[in-house]
Formats: sequence, C-alpha cells, structure tokens
Amino acid sequence: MKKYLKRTLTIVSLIIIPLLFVSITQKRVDHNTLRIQGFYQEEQNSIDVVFFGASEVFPGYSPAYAYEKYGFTSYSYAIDANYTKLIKYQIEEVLSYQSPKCIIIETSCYYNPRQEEEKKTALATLRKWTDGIPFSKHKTEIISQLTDSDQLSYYFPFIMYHGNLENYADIEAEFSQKRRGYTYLKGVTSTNKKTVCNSLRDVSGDNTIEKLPEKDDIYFKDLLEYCKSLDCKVIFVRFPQRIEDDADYEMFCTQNYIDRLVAENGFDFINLDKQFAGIGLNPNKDFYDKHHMNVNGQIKTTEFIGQMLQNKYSITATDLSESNKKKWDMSVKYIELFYEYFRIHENDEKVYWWYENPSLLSKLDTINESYL
Amino acid sequence: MKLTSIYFFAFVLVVCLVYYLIPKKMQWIVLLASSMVFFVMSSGILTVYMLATTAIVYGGALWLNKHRETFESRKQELDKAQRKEAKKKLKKGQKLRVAAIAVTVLGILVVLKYCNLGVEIANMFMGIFHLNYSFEMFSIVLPLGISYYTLMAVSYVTDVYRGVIKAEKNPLRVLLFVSYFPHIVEGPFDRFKDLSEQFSIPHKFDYDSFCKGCILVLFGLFKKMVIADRLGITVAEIFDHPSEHTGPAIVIATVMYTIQLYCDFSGCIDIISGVSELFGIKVAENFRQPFFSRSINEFWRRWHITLGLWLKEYVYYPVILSGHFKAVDKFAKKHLKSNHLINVVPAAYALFFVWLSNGLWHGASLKYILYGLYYYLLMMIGELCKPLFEKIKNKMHIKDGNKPFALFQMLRTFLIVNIGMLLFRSATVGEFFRLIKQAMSSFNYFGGAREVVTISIEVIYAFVGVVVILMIGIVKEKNKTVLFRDLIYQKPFILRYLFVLFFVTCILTFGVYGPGYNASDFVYAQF
Amino acid sequence: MDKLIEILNSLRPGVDFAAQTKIVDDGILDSMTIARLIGLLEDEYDIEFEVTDLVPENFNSVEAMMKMIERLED
Repeated sequence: MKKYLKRTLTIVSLIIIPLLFVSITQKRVDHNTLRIQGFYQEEQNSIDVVFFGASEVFPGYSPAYAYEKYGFTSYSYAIDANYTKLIKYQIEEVLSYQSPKCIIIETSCYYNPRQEEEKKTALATLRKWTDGIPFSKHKTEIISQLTDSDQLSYYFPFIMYHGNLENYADIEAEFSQKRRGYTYLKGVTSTNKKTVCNSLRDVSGDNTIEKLPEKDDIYFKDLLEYCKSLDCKVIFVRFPQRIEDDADYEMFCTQNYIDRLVAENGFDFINLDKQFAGIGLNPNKDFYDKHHMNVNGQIKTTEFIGQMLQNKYSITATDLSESNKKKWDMSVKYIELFYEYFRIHENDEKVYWWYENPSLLSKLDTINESYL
Repeated sequence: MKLTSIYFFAFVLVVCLVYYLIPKKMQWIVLLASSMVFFVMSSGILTVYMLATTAIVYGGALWLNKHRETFESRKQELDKAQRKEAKKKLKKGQKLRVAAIAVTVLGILVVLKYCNLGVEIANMFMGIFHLNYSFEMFSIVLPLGISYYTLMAVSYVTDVYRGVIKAEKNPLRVLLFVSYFPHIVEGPFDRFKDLSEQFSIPHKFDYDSFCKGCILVLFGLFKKMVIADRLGITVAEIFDHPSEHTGPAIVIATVMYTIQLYCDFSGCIDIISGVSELFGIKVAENFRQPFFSRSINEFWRRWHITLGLWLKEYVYYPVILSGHFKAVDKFAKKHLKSNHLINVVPAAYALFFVWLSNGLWHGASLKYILYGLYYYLLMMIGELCKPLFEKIKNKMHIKDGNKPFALFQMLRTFLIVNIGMLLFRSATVGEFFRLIKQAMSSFNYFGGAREVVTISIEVIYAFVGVVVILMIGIVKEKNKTVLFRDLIYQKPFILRYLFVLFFVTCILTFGVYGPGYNASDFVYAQF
Repeated sequence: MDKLIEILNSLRPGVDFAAQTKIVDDGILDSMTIARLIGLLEDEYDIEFEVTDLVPENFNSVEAMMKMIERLED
C-alpha cells in the first residue's frame, strides 16, 4: 500500500508542482492587472462612483484625492486601449460586485476605427482586462462571447505568457498588493514626461459633428440601450485632450456626435475639451502628451468632476465601515505623498513612469519619514 | 491529433488504462481499436486507402503461402529432377506474385503522392518543346502516414515471400501492424516479425518500464517543443523572406534548420517510442546521435536508421542479386582496368537506385530527387577518391583514433549535411542556388547572429536546449550499450525526481504551445 | 577457406580476416564491398544467394561464411 501511495504522490506532484510554479511565475502583470485586481479588493457595495474608459482615466482622475476633498468613494475600472465593445461587459462585471450610485463612462475610447481590423491588438487589450478578473460565471460569459479560440489561455494565463522574456511581470507588486488586501493609489498612474504643445486649437464653442465609424456606432448605441436599464446614474464624460492636428480634431468632432446621441437617449454628456477654462487647465503644464494629463491636470480635473458630482448630481458618501475608512485614509495619505513625489521629480531630465508597486511605495515612505 | 497536444496524451492515458485493465489476451485488440480510432479521426474517409493496402498484402501473403504449401505437399511425389524444376517454377511464380502485390500497393502510394510530380515533369516537357499547354495540378489529400504504412506493408508481404515469416491468418493482426498508431505518423519502419511477437505476448503493468517510457516521452517533448518549434519560428521568418536578410543570417538559419529538423523528427520519434513503451511494445531505433558521424555513410546509418535499413533490405539487396546488376558487374570486370573501379562501379550502380528512392520518398518533386542524388554523388566521389585520401592521411601521419582529426571529420560531415538541408528547405532548386550565392556574399557573422536573435529573443531558450541535448548526446555516445533513461534510473530517487521535475518545468515554461506562436506541425508527417 | 580469404583480401587488402569475428559489425565489410563479394562468391563457388542469406551473422567471420557457402552449394 505504501508503495502505491509513494508512486501516486510522485506522479501527481511531478505534474502539479510544475503547473503551480508556471502559473504563479508566468503571467503578465502590469499596472492594468493591478488596477483591475485592486477593484475586487474593495469592500462589496462600498464604492459610490465607478469610472469606465481607457488610458485617459487613470492618469487623469484620482479616487483617493476625490475622497479626501468630497468624501465619496470611487474607482477607475479602466485599462489601456480599452474599446467600444468591452465597456458594456465591464459595467455588467462591476455591477455584480458593487452598487455604485453613479457610473461615469469616458468616451474617448469610442473612437477606435482600427479596433475590429486589428484583432490581435483587440485580443491583447481584452487580456489586459480579463487577466485581472477573478473566476466567476460572468467571466465565462465574457470569454465565450468575446473570443472564438484559445479560451483555455484566458482562464490559465500561463498558456499565453509562458517563456515571454519581453513581458517582465511585476509579480512582486501583485503579491504585495494581495497581501495588503487593498490598493493605496486606487489605480492611479502617472509620469513626469513632458511634450511640447503645438498649435492648440480652441474648440470651446465648436459643435461640428463627425459620425462615429460604423462598428463603434453600433456598439455605442447598444451601450446606451443597456444604460437605460440601469438603476444607477449614468454620466458620459470626455476627459480633456489637447486638440492639435486634424486627426485630433476629427476625434473631437465624433465627441460632438456622441453628445447628440447621448442627449437623445436622455443622458448627460460633459465634454471637458470645451472646459479648459472652467477646469483651469494649462496645456503646457498639465499634460504629459496630447491625450493624457499629468498630476497637475489630475488634481484639477478631479476637483472639477468632484464638485460637479457633489453639486449638480448630489452624490453623497456612503457610510463606510471602520476598517474601510482606515484604508481610505491611508489612500489619502499616500496620494498626497505621491503628489509631493511628483513635484520633486517634475522637472527631472530622466523620464519616470509611476504605478503602485513596492519600489514606488518605499520611495513615498522615505518622503513621509523626512517629514517626521 | 497533434502529438504534442493535451488531447493526444489524454487519448494515450485512456488507452493505457483500458490496456492494463482488460484480460491480457485482448491487449492487442485494444491497440488495434485505438489505432483505428486514431486513424479515422485524422483521415476520415481516406482510411479506405489504408484498409485497401492492408487487404491487398494480407490476401497476397496468403496467396503466396498457398502456392508454397501446394508445392510442399506435392514435392514428395516427385523425383529429384522434377522437384528441381518445380522449385524453379515456384520461385519464378512467387517472384512475379510478390512483385505484382508490391507494385499494386506502391502504385496506390505513387498515384496519390506523385501524380503532381508527373504533372510537373509533363509541364516541363511542354516547356522544352514550346508547346502552349500545361496540365493542371491535382488537389489530393493523403491519408495519414501513407509513405510509412505502405513501405511497412510491402516489407510484410516481402518477408512472407522470403520465408522470414509465415503469412498471418488473422487479418486484424496484419491491420494492427500496418495501422499501429505510434508508428503511423512518422515511423519508424518496423518489421512484422518484431512487432507481431510483441503484440502476441501478455504485458503486465510494470511501474519502472512505464516511468522510463514517460521519461522518453518527456525528452521528445523537450526536443520538439523547446528546441524545434522555437527554432522554427525564426527559421520560417528568414526562409520566407530571404531577400530581407543577410548572407550570414541565411547560413545561421540553415544550421538552425538542421537542428530543428533533427529535434522535430527525433523528438517525435522519442514521443511515440515512449508512448509505445507504455504498452510494453518497443519500436525500432531511428536515431543514434547522427551529428557525431564522421562520414556521410555513417550519417545515414545514424539518421532515419529504419529508412536506410528498409532501402537496404528491400531495394539494395534485391538489386545486387538481380540479373541486371550481374550484367553491370561483368561489364566492369571486362572493361575497367583499375581494381578499385571494378569494386566501386557495380556497387555505385546498385546504390543509385537506393538514393533515387531515398530522394523520391522524401518528396514528390524534383528538388527531393536532387536531394537524394546529392548524397549519392558525394558518397560515390568519396568512394572513388578513397585511395587518394588514404595516401594523404598517411603522408600527414594521421592515425585512427586521432581526436582532432575525428572532430574535423564530424564538422565536415555536418557541413555537407547542412548544404543538403538547405536544399531540403528551399522551395525550389533555383532558390537553393540563389541562397547559396547569397550565403557567400558576406562574412559578418556577428551581425548575422544579432540579426537572428532580434527576430525573436526567445530563440535563446532553443540554444540552451541544444546545449542540453548535446551534453546528453555526449553521454549517450560514451555509453553506447546502456540506454540513457536506464542510466538515469540507476541514480538515487531524489536525483531522478529532480531531473524529471526540471524537464517538465522547462517544457511548460519554454515550450511552444498556446496562442502567440505560429502553428507548427511535424515536418516529417507530411510524408 | 584460403580461396575465400584471398577473395576477401582482394576487396580489403591488409586485413587479417581469419582472426576477425565481427567483420560486418565492425564495418570492415560495408554494403558496397558486400555487393562485390556476392558476385565474386557466386562465380567462384557456383552458388546463388537469396536476400535472406544477407544477414550479418553469415558474414561476421570466415567460418560463418564457409558454412553458408557449403549450405548453398547443396
């Protein structure tokens, strides 16, 4: 009997150990994964506002700062190169964990004419999202509806990422975040990068319309129908961008089309391209490139949106549990440290890209200690 | 079913379970049933061709047997002269019968596989005579392993003719031999005698043998998934767009391709040999560290061993015992002055058929014929110049056992093989010569290496894998009498455990599987 | 036996065939020389080979070859 036990254990362990090792060490972990995973670490039904969108959102809005100033909790459920088709599934996914009072959909990702043609890119973006979602019935629906092959690699990412030298996974950050149990910066990323602003166009009064590409149009209308069925408030927002050339302008004009569509369906659309003055944005100081804001822009935009939510939409804060309150207070502390860190390095020659990981946090702790 | 897919291993596991649970008398039936399932899953309706070939050789063997039995029963009644006459008549008749059977079975293969070659040649003639007509190519799908099972079927009926084996009365046993799923995909060419004996004996589950079989499978997976498929990505990129790459890159890609082909083919053979060993059935050895060969003759005794053996037994030997060979022999004796030439020329005549067959077997195009004849020519030149080489060797005082000279011989053989592989990989003969020219256009190998690695940095894993199997190859060369996996099994449990753990982890980490790679099918499975 | 050794030496001079026990296995006679040897033996002893005779065991030593020749002469 002992012999059979030993043999069975040997064979089973020779399969299980390598599989475990590979699934733990060979995955893709970047700021997108960490942000998405961080969302699921929030206490259920404790988030007041959820933001959806692409890479404009997480450098341009700070949930921790909004909590500090206005008291409501929020989260940026956004990923790089997010696109039209995915948003509806993402909202469904979020609503199965949280009951926000309001969801905000950033509409820049609604102009993506290449998305359907470049299937490989679209699937890579899908993975940036699905790699962070825990297993659930809804996840199986997402994967079966949005993919037609290699489904197993969405459940077991190592099938896709094994041996990938070019994909340095930040497993240390993932591990430390999981151990802590929540994120400090709530998915915020930023950089000290600067780009020169070339011939900014003033579009504050411009209402020229350009229709969305066909597929994006279909998905967007589909999303609007879906939003009508939701209980929570739905607001469409376009984060500020520098309109410098014809391509930017064309995209801006599609936002005017979105404006009209949204209004026809009974929702509000706020185009922050037209609100540079209102927000107090300086195109030369508040952006790191024409599509994305830096910390300066982040602070201003968060204040603008926070005030709007508080005053115009009366979003009030939920009562948080004691433990949750402590976590959010820590987030406030760290976001302020992060802003301080930004100011220290704002004008450095070297370009830094920041997202929440142990290395960045230890640097923030150093700043904290220097105050003590 | 790809041999590196999880479905294949699930299939093998199920077969193993059933195989060891049912009564031992029925084990061969399990193998037959699973082989048929495997075949039908891969070839569908084309299974009919394999069944037809099997039926022809089965019936043919019984037909040969009947005639021999008739002779045996009647010969007592005859006197010595009559017996000799009857024996002669039987021999002639049997020869015609076996030839007819072999030609029919090979005919199926030739028509299916080489009809497009015929079209190619016909069109070539049309071009030569400036006739404004070209024949259309056929679009034909081949049944799984047709080049392998056809030759094995021919060997079965020929062995019956030669009296090496008796005709098998049970058609299902012949079918099992022909369709046995481990060797149907890429060989090796087994003999009916070896396999049927093993199919007939009961196989009790033996844990150690089972584990050794698994180790062999792992080794094969490592060669195929970590080395061959990884090299294949870079090799495909360079050979699909040769004009975008430098000469040195082409040369490096050729060497990579040679190693890729070796790891692909021998890796596959290891997988199926290992799988077969799980059932307690040993298939023939097909590779024996071929890159340690010191001559091309030796190379072809270490690479695709069973093809060489098949050609020797079923092409070479019949030719050297034939009438037309004897005529050439006589001619040589009469008209050639040098003793050396008298020895070489007749054998060269016989070997021409062997190498033509070798080339043709590899592919249905002129390129492959040239591939076979390339080696033939080099070997014949080598034979003819043998006295000269001996003289040079003596003048340089090189004794047998001289290590640097042995290394020189291995590198020389490797170079010759690589040129052959470049021809094998080129789309056409014309492209081959263009690539040779391009390869000699520059000697910046440092730049070429950088160019190759840039295509996919992860090709480095393959290089490390090559070092690993090279080290294992050296161990195997030094221990020719013991199997490598037996050597591992002699080590303490903890070392064996770690060795296997290391290999499994390497395959899972560095192996090519899942999305994100180009599809890779076994190169030799197209035959 | 001497005639046989003479024939063998004409194909491979300088080898002491009488002392060898692995003539084929060690590669002293390869497939090219076997082809020639067959022809010479068939002429010398008026015998006819079958393919089944062409196995290493029959050619590994001079004794084995003589035995085979005697068998084929009958």
